[in-house]
Amino acid sequence: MTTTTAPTEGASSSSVTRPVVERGLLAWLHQNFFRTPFDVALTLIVLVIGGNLLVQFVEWSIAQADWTIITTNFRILMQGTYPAEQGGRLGLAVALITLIAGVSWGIWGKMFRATAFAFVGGVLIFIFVPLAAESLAEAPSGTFSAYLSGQLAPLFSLLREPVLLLVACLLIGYAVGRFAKQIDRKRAGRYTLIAWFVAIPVCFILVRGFTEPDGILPFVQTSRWGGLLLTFMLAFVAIVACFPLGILLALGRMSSGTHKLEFKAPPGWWLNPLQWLHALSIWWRNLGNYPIIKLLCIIYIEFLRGVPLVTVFFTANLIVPLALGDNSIDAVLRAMVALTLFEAAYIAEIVRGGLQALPPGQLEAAKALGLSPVQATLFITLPQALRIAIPPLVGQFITMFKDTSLVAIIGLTDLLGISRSVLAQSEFIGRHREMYVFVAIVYFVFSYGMSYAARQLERSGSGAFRKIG
Amino acid sequence: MGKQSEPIIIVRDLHKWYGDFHVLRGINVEVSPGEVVVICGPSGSGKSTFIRTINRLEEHERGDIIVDGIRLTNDVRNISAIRSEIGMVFQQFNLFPHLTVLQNITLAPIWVRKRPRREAEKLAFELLERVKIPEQAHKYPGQLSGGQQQRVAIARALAMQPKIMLFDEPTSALDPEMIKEVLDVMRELARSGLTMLVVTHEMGFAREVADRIIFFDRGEIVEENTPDGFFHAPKTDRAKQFLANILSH
Repeated sequence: MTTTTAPTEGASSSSVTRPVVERGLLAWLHQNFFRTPFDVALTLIVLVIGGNLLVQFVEWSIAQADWTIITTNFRILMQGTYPAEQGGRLGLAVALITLIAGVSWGIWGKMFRATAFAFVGGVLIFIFVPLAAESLAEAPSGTFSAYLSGQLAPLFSLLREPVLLLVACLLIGYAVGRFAKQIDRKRAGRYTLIAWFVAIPVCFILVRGFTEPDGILPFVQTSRWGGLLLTFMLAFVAIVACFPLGILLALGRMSSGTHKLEFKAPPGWWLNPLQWLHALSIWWRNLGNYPIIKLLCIIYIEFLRGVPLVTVFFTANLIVPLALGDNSIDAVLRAMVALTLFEAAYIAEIVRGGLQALPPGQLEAAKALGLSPVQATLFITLPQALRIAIPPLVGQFITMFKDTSLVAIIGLTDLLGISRSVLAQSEFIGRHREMYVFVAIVYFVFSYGMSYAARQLERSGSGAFRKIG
Repeated sequence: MGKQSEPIIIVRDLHKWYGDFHVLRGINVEVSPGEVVVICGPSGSGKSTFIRTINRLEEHERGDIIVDGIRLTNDVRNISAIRSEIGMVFQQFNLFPHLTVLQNITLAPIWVRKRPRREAEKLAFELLERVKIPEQAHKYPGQLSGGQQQRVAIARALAMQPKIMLFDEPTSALDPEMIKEVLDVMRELARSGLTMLVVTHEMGFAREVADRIIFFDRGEIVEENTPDGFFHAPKTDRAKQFLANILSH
């Protein structure tokens, strides 16, 4: 079959063949689950236990569970007591984000495509399942179809129009992104990044409003934010704010902490304004090198990492108004500040880990080229450190998203808080399971989404970059 | 121009300690503009530490270093002034892996020298031409071979148009077949009249290119000699021993 050039090579290549790897589902199952008797036993045990749990859950969710607690309270779970006539503003904010996400998908395909597809796939289920359910509405009661039409259809029909709108936004954004990419890829990317940064405060203003009740964007008190909306706003603001603060803390902790410049005061220097200026300029250039700054950063980080988040919320909620002597600071704002300050300490340690993972030669090369410490940090060490730190950073952001549920303890009505107040109503007594299953699913969907997007982000780095020699 | 005899680097009675370990014990060196000085010696003799004190990657604790008329003190202005006059090439290349070759080279000219981007890029392409890899400009360092990376590192240092170049064992991390391409570039630089301080174990290069050889041992300069004198008639026993060791392997 093969022609051989040298007899020795030919002999070896004909006697050594590549082992055949079986392919296909059966081979895969055999390889992974049924290879040895022990594997078989383990697989069967897990199948029996897991299958049993699953069957019980499905049985419960169809036959016993009463999902009307979700469908009747859906709006309040999502928005709290946000004024219903202003609800369109929330829709606008979500549509704006979706549109920019679509543009990003169009431009950076690789990174956003999977996330966007997951999103569209998710919402398609929300549209087609209820359509099917409605056509089966006439089915006899007690059957699966009756369950679908009776319990889920109202929820789905509630969602259908907004979801259709969002898909439209996503696709329009995608088309725009593709078009812009073809004209000028570099500039399109830059404008999209700017759009993201502008969109964040715009959404915040949209939700909060600022005008009189009869104006275009009436002010909505934060006490009326609730449910998933409040959870999102808390997590969003805290993530955006704690990130730069955490980076500054990390840099402060990494600073050398030794004076580089001495101010040699001539006698009577305080009489000479020029000497004051000189002292000031030395102080300014020493800024990164004060042991006190390093010490303060260490104290801050270690202290906040040493206390539970709940105590920080309580402190913000009880002690701050006491200390300031008035109760006028918004409770939601207090929670945002507490969460930001707390999480910044964790972000700082993650960023520090990234900075320490860099080879020392990087900073030396930057110094040898004459870059100032600020330039070396901005252009050389920080970008590389943040790249290394993506996985733990995203992990921390997910933790943060879930940590927002602790604000229920200080009386805010985030998704978890509002679900507890719904459960307290007499007509929904004993419906804890349905409510908590729903809440868990919502948290899971968004946490998993973040984690999935982060994996795409990590992979998007070119292979060349990861081969750091 | 006429003051060829005025030294560009003056080092007087230089001392440095790592904890209790006395790495540099009273170094005195003067280097004239355009001179190529090769520094050799056994490992741990302080030769790398010495050239790193010249652009203050290491701080010295006693003595004076005067580069191009500027005395190295703790003053930040002096340090950055001196660093932009001195280019440095490292054993481990230390290219910035998140930037392309072109960005690696233009970063410092744009941000330290405040050159317009277009001008910096033009210079970068000229330098890449000079180190013979213009076609790699838009690649990332991780996509290049070791020899190519070191040549990019040389181009990056040259982009600041330094008066002095420091080479800290530039070929020690390279595979043997790549050493020549780096040494060829360095030979060409030496001929162009740049002041160079080179720490290296490449004795062939030293013999051919150096104006002077400085032999370090245990933190001291044991011998200063011409290449001919050093290789054929070393004055000290320690230099004889060193040469015997490295030439016999």
